[in-house]
Amino acid sequence: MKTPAAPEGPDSEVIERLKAYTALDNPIRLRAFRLIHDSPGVPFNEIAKHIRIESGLLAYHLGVLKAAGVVEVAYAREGRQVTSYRLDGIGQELHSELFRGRPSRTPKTGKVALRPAPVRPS
Amino acid sequence: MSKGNTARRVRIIREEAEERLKRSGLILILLGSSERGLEERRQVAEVLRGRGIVALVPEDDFPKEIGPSVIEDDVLERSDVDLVFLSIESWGAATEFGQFASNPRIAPKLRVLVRPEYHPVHSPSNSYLTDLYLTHLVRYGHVYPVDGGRQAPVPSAKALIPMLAERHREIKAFRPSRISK
Repeated sequence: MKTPAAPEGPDSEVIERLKAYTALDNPIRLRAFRLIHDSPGVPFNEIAKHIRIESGLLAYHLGVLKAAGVVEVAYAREGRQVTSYRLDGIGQELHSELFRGRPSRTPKTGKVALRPAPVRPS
Repeated sequence: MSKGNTARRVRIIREEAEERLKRSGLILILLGSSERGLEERRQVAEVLRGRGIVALVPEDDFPKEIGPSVIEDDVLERSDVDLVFLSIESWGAATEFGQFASNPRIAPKLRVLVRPEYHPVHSPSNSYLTDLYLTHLVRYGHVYPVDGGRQAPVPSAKALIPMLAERHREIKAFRPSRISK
């Protein structure tokens, strides 16, 4: 069976954008994305505290951001596994594109103060 | 920019990309056994991501605090996932199939991959699982034999059509609301 060829060349940039913006096209993921930008290294449980949805569903949404290449994940063990999140290069670019000139909500405003997890690259 | 404006902007940029590529953005989950088949799912995810599709492998993409098995009806039902591919290579995956196939909000998104010897079209097996695949195949049309390149036997139209028609009339008679249109 023939598989359709993947687009090459200039389309590859559009493909990356499509993937990233498909991931961001959801209110919960957009909130998580801003939170992660504002608190690099934020652990999963801290995100869960601020985005009050069931942890299984949050895991799915963060999984989408990771699979789209928008966030980077690091794992550490503090008695139990801790997964922490930060924006990667594409994520930073997207954030600038979407929120250019918009003040960060955290931690300067004091609205939310998140505790970053110790980072160990995955 | 307000939250609503940002969300609208995201949607506009996504639609521009979709228009340029003449392809829609898609989110899908690749489920299956954690042992056999995990590497294959990773490779498939890589291919799909290269095509602009957001492909999740729960074992890799979920936070470690949450077990991959937490992908249950409830999460899939309330998420915006477009397709759920389930490779059935273990009893655990077969159990998941039973769960998902009976949920009318998940079943239409489900794409089931089975070995030819368990596929209702390619196998004479009378097992309960094969029977369940046949029901899903007739109701939703998405049960596929996969076999790592081995040639799968193909049934004759004479064998296939009566089998599908028989199951359809059974479902129509006993569970008419479950016929997808």
